Amino acid sequence: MNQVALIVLIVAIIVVVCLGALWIIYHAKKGPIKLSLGRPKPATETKHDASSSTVKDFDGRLRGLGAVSGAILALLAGKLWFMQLLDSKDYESAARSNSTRIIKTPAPRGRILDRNGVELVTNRPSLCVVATPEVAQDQNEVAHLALVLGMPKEAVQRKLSDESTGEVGYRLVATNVDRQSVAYIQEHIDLFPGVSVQERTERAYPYGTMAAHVLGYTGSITQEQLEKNKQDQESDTQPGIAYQAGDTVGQAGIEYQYESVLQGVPGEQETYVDAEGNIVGYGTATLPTAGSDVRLTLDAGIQHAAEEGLKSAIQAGKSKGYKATAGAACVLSAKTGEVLAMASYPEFEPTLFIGGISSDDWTSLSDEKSGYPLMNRAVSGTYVSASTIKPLSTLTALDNQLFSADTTVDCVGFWTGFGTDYGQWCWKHSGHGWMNLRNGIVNSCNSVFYEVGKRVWESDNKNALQDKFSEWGLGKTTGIDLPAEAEGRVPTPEWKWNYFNYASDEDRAWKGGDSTNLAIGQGDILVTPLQMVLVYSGLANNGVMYKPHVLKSVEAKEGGGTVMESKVEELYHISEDQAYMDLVHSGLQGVIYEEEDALASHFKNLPVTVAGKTGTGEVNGKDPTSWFCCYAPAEDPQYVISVVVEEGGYGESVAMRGARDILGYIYNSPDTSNAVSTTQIL
Amino acid sequence: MKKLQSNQKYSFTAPAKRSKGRRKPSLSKSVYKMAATPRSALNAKLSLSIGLPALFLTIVGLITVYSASLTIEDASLPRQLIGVAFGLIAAGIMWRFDYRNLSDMTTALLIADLILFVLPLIPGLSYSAKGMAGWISIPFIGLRLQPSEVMKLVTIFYIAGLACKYNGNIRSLDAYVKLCIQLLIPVVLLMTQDLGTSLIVLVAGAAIIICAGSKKEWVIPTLVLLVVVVAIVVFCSVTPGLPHILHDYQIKRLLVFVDPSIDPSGDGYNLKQATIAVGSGGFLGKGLGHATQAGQGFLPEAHTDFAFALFAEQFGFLGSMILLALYAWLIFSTIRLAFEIEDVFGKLVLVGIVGMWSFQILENIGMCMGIMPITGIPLPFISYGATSMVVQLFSVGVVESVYRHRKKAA
Repeated sequence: MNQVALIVLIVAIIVVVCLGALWIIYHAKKGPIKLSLGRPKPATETKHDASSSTVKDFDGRLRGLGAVSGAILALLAGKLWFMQLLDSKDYESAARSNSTRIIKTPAPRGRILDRNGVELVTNRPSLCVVATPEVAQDQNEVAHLALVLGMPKEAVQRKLSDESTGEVGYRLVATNVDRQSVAYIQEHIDLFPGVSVQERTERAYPYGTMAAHVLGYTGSITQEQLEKNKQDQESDTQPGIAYQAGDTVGQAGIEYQYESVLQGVPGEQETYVDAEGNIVGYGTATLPTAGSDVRLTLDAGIQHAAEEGLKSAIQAGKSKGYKATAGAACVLSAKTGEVLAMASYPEFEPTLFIGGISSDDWTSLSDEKSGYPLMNRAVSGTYVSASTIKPLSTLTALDNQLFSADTTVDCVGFWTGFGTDYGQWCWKHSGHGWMNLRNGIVNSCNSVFYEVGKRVWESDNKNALQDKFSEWGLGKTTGIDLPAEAEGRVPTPEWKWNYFNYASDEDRAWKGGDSTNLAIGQGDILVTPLQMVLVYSGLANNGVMYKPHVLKSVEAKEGGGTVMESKVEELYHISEDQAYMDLVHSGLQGVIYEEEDALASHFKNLPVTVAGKTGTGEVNGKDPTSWFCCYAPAEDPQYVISVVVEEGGYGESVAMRGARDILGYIYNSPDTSNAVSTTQIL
Repeated sequence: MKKLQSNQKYSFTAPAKRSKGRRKPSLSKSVYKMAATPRSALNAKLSLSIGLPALFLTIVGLITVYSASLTIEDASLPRQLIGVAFGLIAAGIMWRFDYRNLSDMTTALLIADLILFVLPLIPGLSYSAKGMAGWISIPFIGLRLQPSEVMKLVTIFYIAGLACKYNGNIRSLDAYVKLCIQLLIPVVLLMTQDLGTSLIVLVAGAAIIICAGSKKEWVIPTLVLLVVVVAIVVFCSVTPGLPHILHDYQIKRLLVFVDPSIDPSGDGYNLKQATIAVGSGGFLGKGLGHATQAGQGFLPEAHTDFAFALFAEQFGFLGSMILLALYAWLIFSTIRLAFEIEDVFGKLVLVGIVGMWSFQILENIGMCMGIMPITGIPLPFISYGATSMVVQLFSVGVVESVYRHRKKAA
């Protein structure tokens, strides 16, 4: 309505102006209005001096001049119409964005707690020195500031020109500045134009490196993340938080996974600025809202034990002369899928990332020589599974009626099922004698499982092993709520054919030997420690695997309680004959207590029965990968553990140490045995 | 009896005999007469349809300068008021003076032009404001003037004086070419100092020559020639190796006009900010003193070159329409006066003044909206600058003088 009235008014004004102009031009003339430009009309009247014919000529030219002037004014009025009436909204918003700036006050991130409420990541106030980008132009001021802060001048310069902390507004020069320096700057603030001190919060890690791989770290948002965020914002389906350059976001682990929960809502202060960026007034302001606290399934005690256990396993490997460079350990709650501990070695200091990691630190952390400490090997590391896979091979053999519980194989140390030319050694070259499947697991007898592989190869379903492994979750991600989870690999004839596409057809083809290798977990199979702990939780639960997860709940911001809790979810429910499962359970207990005295001596003082399996993965040109997977108590499994040590040597003497130490913490009965296994079980 | 011979060689001496008898009445007497007797169309000495729009425009200009003075240090309302005072005095004197005396003083006017041109080049007098040449500063007083502003009017009189000799009908090409060349002298001189002002002089002079009775067959080729010359000049200026006739900043302004994103920190920025100022004014404007674009420094030169943007931001579409209406009133009243009078010199002077106003309005307002390239041309009556104010009010005095002396010479 308003709009219509406006347009009518304007049209009226223009009509009046035009009529007025015409009236002024033609007022002197009594003749009819004629819009002839240039030549004068025939002389029909002689108002003017008849002796001067030039006067009539002038009338035409003056009319032309009037038309040109009128056209100019009409053109300007028309353009004004477009700019001030039709498009004025656009110009208004441009003017507003010129003169208003939003200054954001960072909100504290939510804390990260363990399952019992122990603070794993928290916040602490930090005094920060910030400065406007213009300060970079003043070399004296930069030098002075560097001196006060005890930083190299170049570092100050770099921070000032770092656009990642926002194109406008303040650049973060130093965090965690000591009180003395802050006092000096505040007392001599006239020496430091453009510099100011802000109190911000920054991440604090009360337990240092503990669980650093799970917790992750924060950093400035990257360009790619910004672009993706922008797309999400536009797509409308997942609006979420709108980030700006310079925002601190989670970049790994839980910090990354639950960014949307942990991230608070920054406070906003609307300010009015002039062309030089000086603040000339303040508008509305909102206070920052802290992010929500997150409670994890991790148990700080078990986590600590897992990390210490992993280190002692690595130490054990080293003491035996193996490289033992890295490893991982994972503890799962068998009946819920909750991850109680997840350790990875080498570790890193998450404090390095506070306030932005220096490029030197980043280079050394991403350097190959440092062993990629940022990688969470429990979910991202893939290893040859070795003998830990044998329970699944056993189930394959039984389910496909290739073996019965009583079927025996005579192990003479050298298995020649495919002829002498294709013979394969059992780890015990002297041979195990007649072995059934259960004892095959107990003694990790390769000959038995070579026979399993051969019978699968010769059966109707040549991919029975692969099908079984896939059914139990190998070769695909578990869907744990942590980033960068690896899939691992279950090799199939198809895979081999494509993977070795450079080789001859003969070499690319799947052979019986591939099946026998697969049955003992050697060759091209790759699994993650998380996948193996999940497989063993399935074995413990007779085929039921709960979805592994790290988040227990999201805490309410006020008044206690939770706003969201992770549900216990079945990931796989595999129907296995209970008799077969019992055979496997019995075999796995036999591994611990029957196979050899040295191994058994480590577990005898535990108040519970343990079932587990060792593994030693052969890797070309490297020391073997040391595995140990187990669950306890064997009768009513609660805890499932997997430990792997890269180039650690034999499973029963190296990785076992880690698992035993974790059980020692859980059941409060430390390992007292010094017995060292002499056998070299694969 | 007027001189009718078009080919007659004009005299270099300037006898001003005609108007002797008309200068008898004293100022006080005429003012008394005006006040005492009702205005009659025949006897009125002051045209309100010229004076009123000029007065309103001056008031609008003062309001605009006042709003600029709130935030812009350079803009001083008292200074502008002094300019208005001097301008009114100059207009009053001009109004009393019989403009027709000037028609025979072409030589003197040319000399005046040359003196005005030389003034800024004299060391001690010259004063460079913001890198722009063409200013003088009178020693000891410290008064700064822009002689080129005065040159505009002097040249209008000069060309009108030359052209009126042909009595509205230029019959020979010879005479036409001569006129054109005589116009080119001040235009080219000015071009070395101030391209914008020289363009105004060119447009006003061309309007006079065309209206003085030039044949279409001559005018059109001249315009074509002008376009070709401009094209060559621009081409030379952008081609390395050839003499750069135009300054780099002038070329840049042309490029910015074509594509405002070329120079986002310089002229492109100015242009963008000016359009934002105009557009964000909306229908009613942001109100006096609430211009954020000019007030917070985003729009540079808001009180001089971009005065219209400052005005339009505060007073919106409605205010801009009123401003344009005032200009229309002034211009069309002047054109109407040109219809009414019979003196050819008077007609041509009015044509020149209308040309000057129209072009300055087009260029200044158009530049603020991005439809004309950026030049430093002030908006008549509105832009800050005492010299410009004096000259514009003096122009009104000229028009009023034409009105006062509209009847045939005694």
